[in-house]
Amino acid sequence: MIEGVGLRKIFKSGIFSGKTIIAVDGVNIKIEEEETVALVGESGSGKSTLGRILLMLIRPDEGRVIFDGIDLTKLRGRELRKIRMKMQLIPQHPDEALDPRWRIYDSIAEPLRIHKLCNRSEEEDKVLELIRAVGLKEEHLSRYPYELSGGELQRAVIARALTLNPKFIVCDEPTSMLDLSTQASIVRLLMDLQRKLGMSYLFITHDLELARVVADRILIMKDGRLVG
Amino acid sequence: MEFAFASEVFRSRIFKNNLCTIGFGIILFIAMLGLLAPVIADDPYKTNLAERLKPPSLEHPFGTDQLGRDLFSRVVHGARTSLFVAMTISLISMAIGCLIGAVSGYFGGIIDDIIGRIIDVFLAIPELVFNIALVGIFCVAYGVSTWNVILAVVITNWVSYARITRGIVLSLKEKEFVLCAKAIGARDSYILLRHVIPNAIGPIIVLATLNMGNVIMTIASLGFLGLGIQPPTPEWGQILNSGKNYITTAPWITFFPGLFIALSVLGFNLLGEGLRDVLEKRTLEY
Amino acid sequence: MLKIENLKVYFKTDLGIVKAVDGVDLEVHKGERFTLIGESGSGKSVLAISILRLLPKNAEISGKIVFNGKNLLELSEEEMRRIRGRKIAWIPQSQSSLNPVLTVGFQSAEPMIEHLGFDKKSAFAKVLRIFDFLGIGRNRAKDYPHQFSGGMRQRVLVAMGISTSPELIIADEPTKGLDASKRAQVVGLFRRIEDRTMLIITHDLNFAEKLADRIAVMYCGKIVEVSPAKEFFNEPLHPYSKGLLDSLPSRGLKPIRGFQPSMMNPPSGCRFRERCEFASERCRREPPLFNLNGRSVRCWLHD
Repeated sequence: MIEGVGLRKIFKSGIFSGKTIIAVDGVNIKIEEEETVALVGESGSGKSTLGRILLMLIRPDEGRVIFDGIDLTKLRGRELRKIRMKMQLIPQHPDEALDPRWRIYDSIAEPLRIHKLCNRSEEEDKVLELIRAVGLKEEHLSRYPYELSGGELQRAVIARALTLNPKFIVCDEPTSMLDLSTQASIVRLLMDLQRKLGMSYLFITHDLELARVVADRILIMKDGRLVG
Repeated sequence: MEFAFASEVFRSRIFKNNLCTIGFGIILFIAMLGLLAPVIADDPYKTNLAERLKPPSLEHPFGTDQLGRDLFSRVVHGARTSLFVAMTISLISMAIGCLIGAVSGYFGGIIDDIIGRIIDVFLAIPELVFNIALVGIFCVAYGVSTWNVILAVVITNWVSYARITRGIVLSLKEKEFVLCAKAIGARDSYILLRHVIPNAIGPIIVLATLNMGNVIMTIASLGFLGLGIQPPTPEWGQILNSGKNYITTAPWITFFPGLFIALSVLGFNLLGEGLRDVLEKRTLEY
Repeated sequence: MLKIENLKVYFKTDLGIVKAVDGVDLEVHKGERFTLIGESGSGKSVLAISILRLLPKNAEISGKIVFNGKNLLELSEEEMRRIRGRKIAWIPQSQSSLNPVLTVGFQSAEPMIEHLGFDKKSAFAKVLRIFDFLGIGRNRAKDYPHQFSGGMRQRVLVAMGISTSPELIIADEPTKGLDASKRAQVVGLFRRIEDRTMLIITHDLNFAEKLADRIAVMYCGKIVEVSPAKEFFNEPLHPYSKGLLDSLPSRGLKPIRGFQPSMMNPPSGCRFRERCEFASERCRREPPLFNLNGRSVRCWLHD
């Protein structure tokens, strides 16, 4: 369903020093429909960069990203923004993933508004349906992010990622900032949602134990390459 | 830095903060004097040579100047001039500076490099010297007008806004909510307007408040040097200048405009410091 | 060695009183590695900071912290200053606790010069020995903090902590933000420091299992269980301890139902009862700490 072919990304820092870091170095990766692939590696191994390249949040220097048969690296502006509806990101820091000035309701409804998908009352129904699916209560909707705990925030972030019915989600260490018991509930939630909605996950983590429980297949990344 | 923007909590905190309340009080007092100037004060232009250099009295609470003009009227009308000109300058430089800073920080790359160097050049030149030179050039080119002062100060003043905004935007850009907005398919212009700039507003408000004090000082300095707003329009710096020859015989001419300059600068600084405390305070800290 | 009796730490905030530590009794024996486990908001870090009396101003503290027969809460600030760093060392969690403009060697020598009256030369010589011992390498003593990786900075903080041969070392979340392989290194590092009493604060159960002699579990401001490490991991007594272990990926990734209660008005009686599968009517009354052959647990199930 989504495939990366010969992906390579080099970061340059400084105009004069010309220091370069090879973040992703010739990676081939393929994720099938309704499959969970865990990407395990230490910090600095390039796993986050790879996840963001697959979402085209970072453009690769070389290689192609093929989603549903379309080469995303050839798309620009408007076409790419449309494809983005089908793929989403759940980032690592729940306390930074929502705009601190927006109420939870607005943040969850934002994707619908950007793509002008429905009117106000449909929007409200959709948001309510989503928060029930992730285990939040209606009272959370009128709050600001700082009024929620880490686990509640991550649920809100998941709800927002689900608004556009994506087919593919990159979970970038979604529980590494959370407590153990909260981690368990968030991971269980993600697994349940996948079963119900039939999505594919790229589950990025540094915890091999966690990867074993979650994933159908585990990829290990080291120094920008997949090693197993 | 977290900015709590729930406005109810917010308003109560602003007035719980003593610095804010005192600063706000001082500014409100001066602004009210300025606004009500035509009602509470006489004509600031009316000369009366028989009444020149009179000390403060019931009739002339601040005394009179060397031309017999009522000093209270001149100082109070001067508040109008100073605050109005300072506000105009602040707003224009804020608009220009924030936009340039935000664009520079958000898009980065070559745009950022160029703007960054320009900012560095401006910061390297002493502000007042630059202002004096600019006012001089504008006077020669366009003749004498208040707009010379405004333009000259704006040219040196936008830089601080650009620098601060750029820094904030750079750090906001790395925040995950900006990344997430991109991931749901939002345009750059939308992200900049809806997510980045609103989150940068807190520190910019603080800067603008502190900056008002600076600008008032600059206007007064230019006025004192005879380069600012020209007589007979009453302006504090220029009244100071005209009173300096009488400082031993009629010290009230310099004392009252000086007091008002000091008070208004103090007011804006207190309010700015207070706002900084309030805005940058975390919501629950223990 | 260290005995805490009925310790309470309350914070006054804009929104009300936060009872971060609410009646804690603990005893750390000489020579053991005592590990305090808790999730965020359980009050475990506050408990650790209060031992050193480094709490912020809006904190109200009561109870007793007896260290070597002296109640620390009754000492003057000056006496306390002499204990910090010398008798009780603190290894902070944040790796930004190092001063960026001083070499790590100098920073590690400072406590010895300050507390033990070493001259610069002998202090530095001892730092070199410690650096070798902890695997930092003596050649790196003249480097600055930014030249070190996260794991290495952790070692420098440990070096600073043990340099004065303190009687008690308090380590606050030593594995926070580290990768798996770095965590294994921290375990090795802490094992090397023998004959020293340690109080380790962590939420990392794997880390605790490898290192601890005894374990205390803190939930919502209270200690709910104290057990020898082996017995704790084989057969936890308190339902919360059990829930915590079951939520480990290797033990089934089973979440504890519900959410952590607010620290401002925690539930009456047992604080875990709303999330507990064994809760019954008697849990409305607060359970005392029951003693069961060397273990203690705050739960009516073990009455």
